[in-house]
Amino acid sequence: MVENVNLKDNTLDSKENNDLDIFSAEDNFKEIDYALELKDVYKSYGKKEVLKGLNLKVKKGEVFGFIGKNGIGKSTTIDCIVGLKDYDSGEILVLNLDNKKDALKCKSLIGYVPSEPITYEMMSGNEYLQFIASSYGMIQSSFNKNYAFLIKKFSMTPLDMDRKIREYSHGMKQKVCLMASLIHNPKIWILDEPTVGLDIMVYEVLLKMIKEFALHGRTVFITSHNIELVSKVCDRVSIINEGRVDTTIDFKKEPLKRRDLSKIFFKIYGDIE
Amino acid sequence: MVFDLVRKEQYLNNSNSLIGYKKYLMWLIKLIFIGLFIALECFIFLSLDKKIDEYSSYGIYDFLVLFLFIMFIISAINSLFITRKLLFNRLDSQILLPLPISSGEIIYSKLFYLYFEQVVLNLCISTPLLICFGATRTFIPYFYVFSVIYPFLVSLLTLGVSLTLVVPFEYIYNFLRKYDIVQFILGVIVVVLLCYAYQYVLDIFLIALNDSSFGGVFSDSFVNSLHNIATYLLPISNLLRAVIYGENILSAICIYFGCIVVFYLIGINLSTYFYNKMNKLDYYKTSDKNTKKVKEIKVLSPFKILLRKEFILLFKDSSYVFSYTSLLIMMPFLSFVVISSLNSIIYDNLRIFAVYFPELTSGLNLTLILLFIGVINANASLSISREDKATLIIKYIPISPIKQIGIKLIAPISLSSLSLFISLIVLVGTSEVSWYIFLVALIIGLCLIVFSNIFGILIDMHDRISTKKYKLSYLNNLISIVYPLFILVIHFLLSFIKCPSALIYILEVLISIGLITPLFINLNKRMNKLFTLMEVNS
Repeated sequence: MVENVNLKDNTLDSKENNDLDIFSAEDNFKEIDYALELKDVYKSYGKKEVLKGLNLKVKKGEVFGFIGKNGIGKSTTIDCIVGLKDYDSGEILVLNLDNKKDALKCKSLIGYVPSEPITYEMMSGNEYLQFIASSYGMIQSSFNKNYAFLIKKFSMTPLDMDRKIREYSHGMKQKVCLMASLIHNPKIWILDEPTVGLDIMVYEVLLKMIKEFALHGRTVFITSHNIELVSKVCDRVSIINEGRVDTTIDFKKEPLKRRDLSKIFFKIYGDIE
Repeated sequence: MVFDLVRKEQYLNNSNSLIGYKKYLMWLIKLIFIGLFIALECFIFLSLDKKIDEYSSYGIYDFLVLFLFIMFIISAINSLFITRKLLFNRLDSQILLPLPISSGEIIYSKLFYLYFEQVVLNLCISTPLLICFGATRTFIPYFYVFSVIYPFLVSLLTLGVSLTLVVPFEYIYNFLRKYDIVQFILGVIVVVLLCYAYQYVLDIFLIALNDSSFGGVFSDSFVNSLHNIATYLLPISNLLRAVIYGENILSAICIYFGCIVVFYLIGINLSTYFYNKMNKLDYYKTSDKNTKKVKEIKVLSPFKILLRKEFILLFKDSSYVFSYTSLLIMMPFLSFVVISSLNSIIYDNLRIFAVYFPELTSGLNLTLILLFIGVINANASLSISREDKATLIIKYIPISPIKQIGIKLIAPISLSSLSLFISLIVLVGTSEVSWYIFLVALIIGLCLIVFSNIFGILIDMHDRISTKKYKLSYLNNLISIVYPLFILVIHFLLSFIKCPSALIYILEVLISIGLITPLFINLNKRMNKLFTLMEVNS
């Protein structure tokens, strides 16, 4: 099943099928409470242990923030969820599917934005979106709708899209990565430092899209150094320390903590002297 | 400020990860290599100097002028590429332009750095030749002073030339970057020219070999034309003539320094103007005056899109265009040139060995064909490295590792096999090799191509597993050279014991098939495992 990502007019085409058969998985998702579950995940690089029994539950339809200082394991966590890295032990469930056993199904449910805008630079923006859409087995009509919607949303002209990515600015590359992550109608949108290099206009569009995405029952998982972004859009935030979740704050239950997020962050890691 | 900027350039261009004694060791190795190079250069020059009088009444002077002129051209081209890289470096400009430094200071600092590099290059290559030339003729001391000053003088000119040409060159470079087809055609043309140059050198070598001396190479017409040409190799020829023979000193100085003044006047103004324009007016953003119709984007099957991506990587990445695709295109020509030359060498000079090795020619032909295809194919066999940073993408797209790896193998295997097949057809068609060799080379060549690509992708993934300390990617290049030599040894040994030709061929084919077969045991499982374990940093 490939859904149209057109959030603006609220038309989600969930009737069209493709060969990945996500449609059948969609039926099962109704019974599922958590989009992502990390159970006792351990990951080390040689002797250096980065994740030391990480436990995390991300509810369906929520915007979840995952923050922490540099080199603490945020990106490693995302890499393990997305399948870029193999973890040593534990379990990661993506909409109740084991991301090791059902790796391909899990990957098809995720839209991923890496911290660096990595694409095939010798391709044009169009060629790259075509590559991603084809890789995810999209159907033509769904692609056409999403493509039109996304280039409009991210202010990219068809002529921009026809240019080689290596000619793009950092911000434009980031936009293409954001578009590529959404083109195939993911159920979970994982963004690793998404705001780096974006101009204020696109930043606002991104904030709006994150909120709308979650409103349609889909899940957003963000890591960012931008505390303002996290406190603004997230429903819940977990702060990672020493390879485990140190604190989780539910802004729906404790709305006042949104403005205190920086203080909580510094309290965990110790104030800057 | 200018000197701080020069130090910055030096630091940026020479920084490497080596620290402590390793750094000094590297310097020592570099110095030894430079010393050896200078010794070899002087030895060849002095040997040639002794022999040249037999063939040329003009002596070695014309060769000296020619060599120094070629050095001047090479330095200018090298300097042009470096100047472009230094002046139109987007990141560097982004850092420097907001600082309170004038464009002039930035450009001068880059020029100082480049000038220093050019002087060192010429001191290592040109000065030893001039000193050898002077020493054998016991010139007076001022000639040796000139030999040391020469690099400083010639580097001034090369820098002026590169400075004048850098702006048009930058425009052409960017034009080429936009049009892959032009880039590809240019790549093929460069390789064709290099092949012709290679053929020319090979012909000279053959003539020398046939004559057992250099007499065939240095014919009267060749020596006379070189002498005539040397007079026009300005400004090097008149500068040397003025210094060595004391002829037209004033005009030589005027021409040389006139050239320098003109080039610098044009170069400095042009590059300063365009440095500001290009870097400040966001030249790197291409204009939207594109009137092309926007085509509908067709969603393809995963198989088609992955295959297309592989061909894009091989044909649109300039490093692969030069090291792989254009060489594959040229392989039929290259193998024909080398094998026909080799056959004539064997026929003219080495027939006597056929008494001991009846399969001498076929063995060498087979080895050369395998060497060509092996070495060219090895350039594209590390299929994961070809992705560079985009390895991240192949890890997160929902397509099975086996399917992705299979498609990755199809592109280089099919292209290399096609080139091998066409080369062999050309060789058979021109009667350079027999049909037996055609068949044997085709089968063993295909084995080598398949092995090299599968083994290449396995070791490529192995090297990316973080816990593996030892990198193995060099093995693939080694095998592409060692295996043809291994076949040659078998061929010669069996030929030496007078084994029938047919049996030699069959044994070689069986050995090749036998050697690649173990690679397929548990291949799917191994590939899947390595792909999963292969880690990518986001």
